Amino acid sequence: MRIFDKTLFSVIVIVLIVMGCAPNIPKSDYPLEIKRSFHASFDNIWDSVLEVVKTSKGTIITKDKSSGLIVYSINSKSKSQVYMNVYLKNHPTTNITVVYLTPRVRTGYYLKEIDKDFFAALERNLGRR
Amino acid sequence: MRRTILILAILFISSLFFGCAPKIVKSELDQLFEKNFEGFEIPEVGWIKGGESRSFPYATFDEVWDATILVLMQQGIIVRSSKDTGRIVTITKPPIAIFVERGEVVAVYLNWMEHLYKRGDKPEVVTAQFKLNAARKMAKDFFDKLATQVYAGEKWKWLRIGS
Repeated sequence: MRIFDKTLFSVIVIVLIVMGCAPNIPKSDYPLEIKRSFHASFDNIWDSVLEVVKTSKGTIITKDKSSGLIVYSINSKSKSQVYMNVYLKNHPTTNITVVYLTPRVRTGYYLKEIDKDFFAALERNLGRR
Repeated sequence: MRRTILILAILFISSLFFGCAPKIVKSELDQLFEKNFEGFEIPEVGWIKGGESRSFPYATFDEVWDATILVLMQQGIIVRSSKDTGRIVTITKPPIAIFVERGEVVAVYLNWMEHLYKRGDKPEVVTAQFKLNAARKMAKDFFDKLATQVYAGEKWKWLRIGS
C-alpha cells in the first residue's frame, strides 16, 4: 500500500474516532408523557416505587409525599446517569393511582425505553403485596 | 508534497483531539450533580419573587401545584420540592426556582439560578453564559404550558367537547 493510501486510511479511521467523541444529545423538545394507571392505593404505590429505587440501586434526589413526587438517579446500562422524575396522582373515589414518569439526563430526555424496566419492577413489587 | 499533506493532516487531527479533551472546569451545578444535590438548599421565597410571575385565577393551589410538577418534570430534573412551602427547584437551562403562592388568586413566581453556573474555585468566572432574553422566553414558555395544564379541563371546558 502506498504511503498516501495509508495516510488516507488513517485519516478516515481517526475522523471516525473523533466523531465518536461527540456527545449524544437528544434532539426532541416535545413533551414526553409516560404514564400508567394502577388499581392500588396511593400509599401502596408510593412504597412500591421506593422499593424500585432500592432494588435498582438508585439514589433519592428528592421526595415529597404530600406532592406525590420522587426523583432519583440511577446508572443506565450505557453507564450514563439517568434522573427519574416520578409523580403519583391518586383518585381516591376510584382507588386508581396514576404514575407519571419522565426519565432525563442532564442534556434532555433519556430515550432508551428505561420506562419499561421501571414499570415492570413496579408491577413485580405490587404483585408481592 | 505528500509529506506536507501528511503533516497537515496530523496537525488537523491533533487539533480535533484536543478539542474533544474534557475540560476539568466545574461549576457549582457540576459539583451538585456529583454529590446528587446533597445539602442543596431551596432559595428563599423573597429571592424567588424577584423574578417573573403569573396569576392563575379560577384555580386552587392544589390544581396549580399539581400542574406545575407535571410541566416541570417534562422540562428538567426536579431536585427539590416542598408542597408545604410551595417551592420547587428544577434543573433546566438555566436552572429555575419556583414559588407557588397560596391566596384567593394563586400566583406562580419563577427566578433563574444563574449563579449555579459559577465556577466553584473561581466564583467570578462562569462556565455557561446566562442570556436574559432567552431566559425570559423560557419563563414565558413555562407559564404558557402551565396555564394550558391548569385550565385545559376547567376554564376551557370546550376542549373536551366531542373528544
